[in-house]
Amino acid sequence: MADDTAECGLESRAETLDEDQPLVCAARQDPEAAGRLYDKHYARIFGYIYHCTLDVTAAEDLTSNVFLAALTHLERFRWRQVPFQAWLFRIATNEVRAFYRRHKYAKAACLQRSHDCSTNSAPSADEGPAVTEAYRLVHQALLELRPKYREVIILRYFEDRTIGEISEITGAREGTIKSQLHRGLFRLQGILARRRVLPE
Amino acid sequence: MDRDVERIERYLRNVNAPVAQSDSHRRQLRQQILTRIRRRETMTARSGWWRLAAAIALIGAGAVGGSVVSTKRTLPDLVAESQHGIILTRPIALNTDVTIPLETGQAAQLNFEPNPYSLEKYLLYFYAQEDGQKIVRGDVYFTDGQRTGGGTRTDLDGALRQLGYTPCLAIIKWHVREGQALVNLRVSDDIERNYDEYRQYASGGKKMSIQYKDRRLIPASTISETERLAGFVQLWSEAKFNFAFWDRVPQVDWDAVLLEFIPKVREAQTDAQYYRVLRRCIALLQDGHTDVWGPTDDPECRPPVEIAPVQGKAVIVRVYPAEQITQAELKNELIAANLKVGEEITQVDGRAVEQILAEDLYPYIAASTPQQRELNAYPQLARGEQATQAMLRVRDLEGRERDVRLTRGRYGFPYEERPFLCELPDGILRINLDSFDSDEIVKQFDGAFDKVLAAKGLILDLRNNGGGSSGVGYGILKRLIDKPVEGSHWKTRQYMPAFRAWGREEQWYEGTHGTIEPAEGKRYEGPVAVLTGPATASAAEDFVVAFQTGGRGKVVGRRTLGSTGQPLMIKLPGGGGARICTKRDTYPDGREFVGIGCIPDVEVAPTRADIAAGRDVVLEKAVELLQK
Repeated sequence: MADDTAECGLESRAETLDEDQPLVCAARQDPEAAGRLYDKHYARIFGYIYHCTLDVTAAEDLTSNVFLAALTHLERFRWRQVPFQAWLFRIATNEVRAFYRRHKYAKAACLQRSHDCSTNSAPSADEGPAVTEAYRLVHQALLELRPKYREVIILRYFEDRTIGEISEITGAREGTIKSQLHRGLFRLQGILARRRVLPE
Repeated sequence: MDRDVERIERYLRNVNAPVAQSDSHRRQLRQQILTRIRRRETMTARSGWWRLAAAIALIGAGAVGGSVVSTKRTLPDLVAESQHGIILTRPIALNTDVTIPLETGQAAQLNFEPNPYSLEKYLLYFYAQEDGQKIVRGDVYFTDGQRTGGGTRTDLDGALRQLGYTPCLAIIKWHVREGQALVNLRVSDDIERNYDEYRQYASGGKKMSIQYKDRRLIPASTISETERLAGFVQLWSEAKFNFAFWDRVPQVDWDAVLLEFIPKVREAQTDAQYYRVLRRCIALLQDGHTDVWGPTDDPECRPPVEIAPVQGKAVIVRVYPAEQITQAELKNELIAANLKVGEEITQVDGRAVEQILAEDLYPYIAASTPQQRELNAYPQLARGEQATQAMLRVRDLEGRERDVRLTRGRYGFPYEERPFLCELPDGILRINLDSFDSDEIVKQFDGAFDKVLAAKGLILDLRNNGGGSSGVGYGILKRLIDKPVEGSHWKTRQYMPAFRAWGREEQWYEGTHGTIEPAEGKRYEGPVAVLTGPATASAAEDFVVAFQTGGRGKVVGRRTLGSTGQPLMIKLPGGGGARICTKRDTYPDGREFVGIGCIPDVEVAPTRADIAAGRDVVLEKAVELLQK
């Protein structure tokens, strides 16, 4: 194991950071292990991206980007107190941000004083699983929030991540996450109340 | 506070989130990933593909045991230590043997021919302790100017492993002849060819594969030459027929640019180099809404300081809180540097700030105005690869200079959200409008309107407002005016191919953003001041234009960014994209502000001393004006 650790470029440390450590080491040299790593995390990452976009096509595209980036560049991953899954979530978060940035450009291009533009930047929910009306309303409201608030709310309430895990994923301190969560919820509540989803 | 969000928490916990699955995608993607990994491994083992585990083998008669003297030395250190100067080599091709004669204390700068990696320039430094004609100890260092690795045969592996070296298999042989070391060097990505020599060295049981680090090894291009050329030509032609500001860049012969840049596009070895060529090309148009972005951005790591332009100097405006750095070494480094807000950076890694701006940054930044160029360039001054050291020459407020070394990292400066509303002395109210990207801002303004009505003076701070939708800004302005105000005007090219064939001059289609009517009901009639700065952009500039046109109050601060318009979005090969600005906005009377910026009625700019003292002189001036 010591040799494997050295081979994988791991810092020697007594404790194991997370359960994925041996699998990640093996996946650097063994495609089958990479496949097992993929199988293990695919559903979680896909689900997370879907919750962020509510669009199956976009979720497929972005999930592909995440795993192609992560597994074909596995040697770049360093164990720095961050579990492997958090690393994947972090890549996924960046992909989602980029996705919305692209949408924002397109949206900005339309919005900027072009009053007759009818392009809707919200992802389509035509395909995919049955979505309850309550969930759709929440998601539409989430799209009005700033990305940093939206991400922490999705991670906390739809992905059941702890504050500590969200901190690892976003790279922000726990205190910051708590504060973002509180502000995000407060704003989300306002939006939903205004839309009469919640009582004023 | 928790009560504030209790309802929404309860509500969210009862919302059933759908479980999304895509089995066909899961299977396809799995196959795609495994195919890629297997192909890479096969090529690595059989023909020496770019993704080799890096290795340096040092095989030498003269290289014997010893220890690494220092792995912290950088290029300038080694140059300074070099007793006999530096030999410059001719461009070295990969997989070719070169012999470099070196005396002890001498260095050779290895210049490489264009290659699919980021191998450009390395310094090979040789230091030997001689006993008569026999070298009893020798050290060789490699450095790319940012990181240095080296040592003797015994320690080279460890030293380079620490540093995350190196791109390829490099085989070095040393021979000592007549008191001189002849270093035979072969940098190769052909591991099969070099395998015997490699194994010979590794036969001691010590494998010398060195993990490659971050981006130093840039993969072979994923975009074919045809795609690159097609992408470039598309960008070029979209600009030719849609760009709205050709008269602003009379010095640019766009047809000649096509000829000039095609060879550069073809010469680009990597995707990153290709996008750098495109960025350089589009930056010729000097417009902030006409730019190119690549699928991967430039390195974002920087020392734990934020640098911004202040009166033409690179000034530290924020220092990362040391207590938030968890690694003791980095934390101590920052504390020891004792950096203070307001201090000036004059050099980075031995290069003057002006030189870095002129050579590395400005030619690649698309900007409409000098203030936009500076705003984009200065924060990038000290950027570089993660974990490398930046050597900063810092000038304090008394003019004393000192050098500090700081390690680059991804320091996410906390976003400082400003309160929407601040009550200042003498009944003056300040409202921070940091964005116009949501109707919520108008509602927030309306929610605070009772306080606005009661204020003796109102300050609207737009210094951090990068834009959004002009309608949002106008939604606020209509509550401050008692007569209609004309919004900015715009025009766009009206291209008629037949007219062009007949040699007629091109026409423009002109439009307006309409008139902003005063709001019904209560309106604020007291004095208003608007604060602006170089980060006031786009829709925020439209607000300033209307505010100034209506003569509603004074604009205080610095010029705005001077960049707005309607960009045409273009997809480029490899996942990048570009924008071409198709529309030019002006004041209603035809005065231009794009390329200039909205000029404040009262220009106030903070000095280094103001920043060091934490003074907001722009706000002070606005308060003074309102008190009058």
